[in-house]
Amino acid sequence: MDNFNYYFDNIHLLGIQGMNKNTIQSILERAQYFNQKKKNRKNKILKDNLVINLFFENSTRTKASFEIAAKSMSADILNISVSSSSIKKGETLIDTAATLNAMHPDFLILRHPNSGAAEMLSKHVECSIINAGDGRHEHPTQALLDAAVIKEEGINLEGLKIAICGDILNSRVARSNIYLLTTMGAQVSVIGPPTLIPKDIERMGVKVFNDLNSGLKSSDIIMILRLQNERMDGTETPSKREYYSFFGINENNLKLAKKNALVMHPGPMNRGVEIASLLADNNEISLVKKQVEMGVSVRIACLEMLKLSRNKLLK
Amino acid sequence: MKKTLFQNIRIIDGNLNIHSNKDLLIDENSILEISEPFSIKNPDYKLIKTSEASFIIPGIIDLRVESRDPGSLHTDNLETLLKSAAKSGVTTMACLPNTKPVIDDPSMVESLSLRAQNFNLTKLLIYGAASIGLNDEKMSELGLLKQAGVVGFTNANKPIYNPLLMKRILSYSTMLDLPVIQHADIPELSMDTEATESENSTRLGLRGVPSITEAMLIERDLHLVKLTNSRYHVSHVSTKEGLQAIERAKNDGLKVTCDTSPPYFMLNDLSLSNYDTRYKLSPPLRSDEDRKFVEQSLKNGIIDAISSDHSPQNRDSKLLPFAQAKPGSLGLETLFSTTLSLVNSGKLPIEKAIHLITYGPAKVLNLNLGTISKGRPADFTVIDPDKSWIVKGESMNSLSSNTCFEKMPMQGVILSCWKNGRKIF
Repeated sequence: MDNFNYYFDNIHLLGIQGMNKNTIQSILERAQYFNQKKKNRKNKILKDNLVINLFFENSTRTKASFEIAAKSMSADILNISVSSSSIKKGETLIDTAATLNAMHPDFLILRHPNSGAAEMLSKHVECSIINAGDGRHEHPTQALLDAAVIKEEGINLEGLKIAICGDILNSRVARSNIYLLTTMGAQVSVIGPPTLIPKDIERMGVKVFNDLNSGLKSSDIIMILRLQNERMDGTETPSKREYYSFFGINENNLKLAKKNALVMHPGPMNRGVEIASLLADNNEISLVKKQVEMGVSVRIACLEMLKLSRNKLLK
Repeated sequence: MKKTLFQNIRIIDGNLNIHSNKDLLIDENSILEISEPFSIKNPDYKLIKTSEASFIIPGIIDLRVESRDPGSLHTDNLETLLKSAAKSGVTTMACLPNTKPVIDDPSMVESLSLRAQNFNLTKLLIYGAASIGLNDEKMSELGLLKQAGVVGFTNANKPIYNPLLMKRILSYSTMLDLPVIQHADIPELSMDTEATESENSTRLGLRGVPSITEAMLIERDLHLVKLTNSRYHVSHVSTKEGLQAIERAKNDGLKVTCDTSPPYFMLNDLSLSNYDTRYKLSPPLRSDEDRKFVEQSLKNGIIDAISSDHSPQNRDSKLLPFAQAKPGSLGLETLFSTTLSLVNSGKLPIEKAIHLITYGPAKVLNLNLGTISKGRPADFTVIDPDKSWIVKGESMNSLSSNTCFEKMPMQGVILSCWKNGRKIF
């Protein structure tokens, strides 16, 4: 492992914004390498390291994925979720983090409902912070795993046409993906009703479509996002059925995209709202299962990358 | 009575534009004489020699500070607030009624003014709550509040939003000849927001409020102001559209005034990029286009005054994720230097800058202050406009240290501050 160079000079992974092409490329490559060994990937990279999963929002796949990644690297891992801890008793994020920091973890994996929470925490602890989703801001490992899945399909990111469809306003996955894909030279469109498209997003280097059909046209990949009901007040769209009839992706409207276009979804899916159930289960077209699988491999690569930075920078 | 003489000192007056060396004679109350240098001679006068670099300006008048006393004594108290004001060259300031309990009762006004008077420092004026409990439901006893001494009515950091209540408050206030002070915001649009809606808020994933929200409420209010012929003042105006609405109203001859605060001409919303909660303010920091428009409006007179918008928040209220942190910044001790920065950057002549923190705010509240002339109260501040310093929240006179100008280099310091002929700093 010592020979692998991630070109990364930070002990925290807070977001994709500002990450250079070499780093992204290295993580993807390394993730693909770990993905090949998925039946036999036990290693000792994080032996004697303590990893804490600190999740202030519900999560199944991200939390499990980080836990499996850490365990396969021989780390000790502790899961803390909001419902069973003192956070509900009114403790602030900083106090919780300081308490955990006193137990000397090497990595703290944080999911939090507020944008910027991971960055704030990184200034108050000695361990490495991995942002597993902060509010509407970023979810870097999701964007990395999405890109790794695309590469794994033998598709080159440069010049690729990708449409991100759905609740862009509330989505950290959309933001991380936009940063990553534009950095790698892909052409990104976002599709959604005007109420779910944040202001001036064009300046992040994407095209905006309010019409699904024109947005899908000649896309290679369609990334479908969940309506983030927990971050919505109910006035963004009139109803789920109206949303489905204007922005739901099914096998019919998918025909507008390029032949052999593929569909991705970060999960959890709202079947019949943003994606037709049949399409979601069609493994010829849908990469959803591969995304979950790649999730573990990408997180192994990210943990390794930070471990190497720690070795280098904290000597 | 003991008399004090300032010999051969430069006086900058925001109203009369005196800008030359004079002798200034005061007693323990008012200004007795202003005359040519070395023309006043009397061995009995206490002579104050000042350095060549120093100026005298009228005592600074601050239209908007928050007192955490009574209510949140771990955040700030009356003594530190008044000391901070004196240190800042402020001789008169008006505090918002959002204390705990709220200043919606005449006895609250009397008790707070009396306590402030006992410190013998900066004069504390008080705004009465426009609605009981600041709840925007029922009008406070505006008449009794005036009798107790308030200088205006406001819902503090919340708008007077209910249109019927606003119409009645504006109408009723005409009988009392006091201004109604507005924080221009639309609660449904700004609820749970963390920043101004912009490319930056999009990138940061912060919930955004459109900047036109400010103008939306101002425009509504201006119709009611016209209808009722009342006095209306908008606090900490921060947007182009808000200022344009105010300009039109002024041109129409309405009794409308407004102030802004230093963050809105010094900073823009790019400051939020690291989620530093020191920059979380209400109203939120705006685009650079808005910032420039504020700067221009200070120059052309649309803005009547610069207020500090002094809002202490304790460390715990700021050491939180951005969404949860409380808005606000200390403002008193940076008020003078930030205003002077407009002079140093060539945006304003010094007389105009001084006007905006002295005679300008005095006129908003119809106070007989803000100018240095014979017979007026001897409220003035001695400044050194060239001396530089670095802002450090921890060394400010407050139990809190939340300044949005932390670590910024500033120019201009207060050398001494005089209230009614008495040195208070």
